[in-house]
Amino acid sequence: MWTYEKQLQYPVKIRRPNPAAAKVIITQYGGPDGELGASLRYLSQRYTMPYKQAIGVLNDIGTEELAHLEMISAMVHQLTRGMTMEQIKEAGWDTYFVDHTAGVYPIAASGMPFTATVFASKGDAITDLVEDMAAEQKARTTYDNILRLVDDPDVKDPIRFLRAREIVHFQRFGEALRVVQDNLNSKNFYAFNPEFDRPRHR
Amino acid sequence: MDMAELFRTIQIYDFVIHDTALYLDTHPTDQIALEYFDEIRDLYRKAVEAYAAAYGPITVEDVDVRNNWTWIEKPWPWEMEA
Repeated sequence: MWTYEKQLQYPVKIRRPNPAAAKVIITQYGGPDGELGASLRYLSQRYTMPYKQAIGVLNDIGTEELAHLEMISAMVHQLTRGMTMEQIKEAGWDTYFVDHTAGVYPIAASGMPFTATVFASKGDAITDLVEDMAAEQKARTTYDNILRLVDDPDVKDPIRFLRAREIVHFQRFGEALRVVQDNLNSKNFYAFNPEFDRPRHR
Repeated sequence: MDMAELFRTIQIYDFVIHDTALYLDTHPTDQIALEYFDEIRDLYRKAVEAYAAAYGPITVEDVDVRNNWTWIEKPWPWEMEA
């Protein structure tokens, strides 16, 4: 279970409202490579993961992604706090405003609401960990794209922190995959699925 | 108290803390509730300390690093068998 800590993982202090930036950053809340999908991916995959190091990585990164979800939400909130109607219309935030005002709601940059179809929990250790490594790289690319689109240093600083975490997570998932493979038949990693098949006794 | 009994005690204290906190969110000046919260929190801290010393961590902050990284030792909470 979880208990709440009354702090963000890294500070978010944005001085100027900027709904145009919020429009792209919100994709890391409810979009295809966002933090909500990331946390649900890892926290869902941990139940059937067979090896303790890999379980630990899924549990602890899944938990960290919840902290990232909160940072992104805080950024969207601060970027849309105190907006004028002119700023809303000029930035094209009006299509969000009409449904959610300045409330925080998980959507992709395209406007598509969050969907669980953005992640997988396949129930196969190799498959899931390879998905997780790809997911971290996709999120890293998204943060790189956000850094190309925004200029405000108040926004760039926490985005750079989140980008760096994707790289650390990619490394840890790679190590977890190696632990899994070290436990399998080195001549055929796919001889059985360690998340489903029971060991055979001769 | 054995391991299972102490673990269940921590679970109960943890829930009481949570439920009392929830009440205090809407009754932030209720002195009886505040004192009750304080009392249970103290029992909780002592129980967690005793459990962590004898059996292993509840949170990462409880890990005794002299025994290596016990955080990942099984069973994880969802692996308990009836």
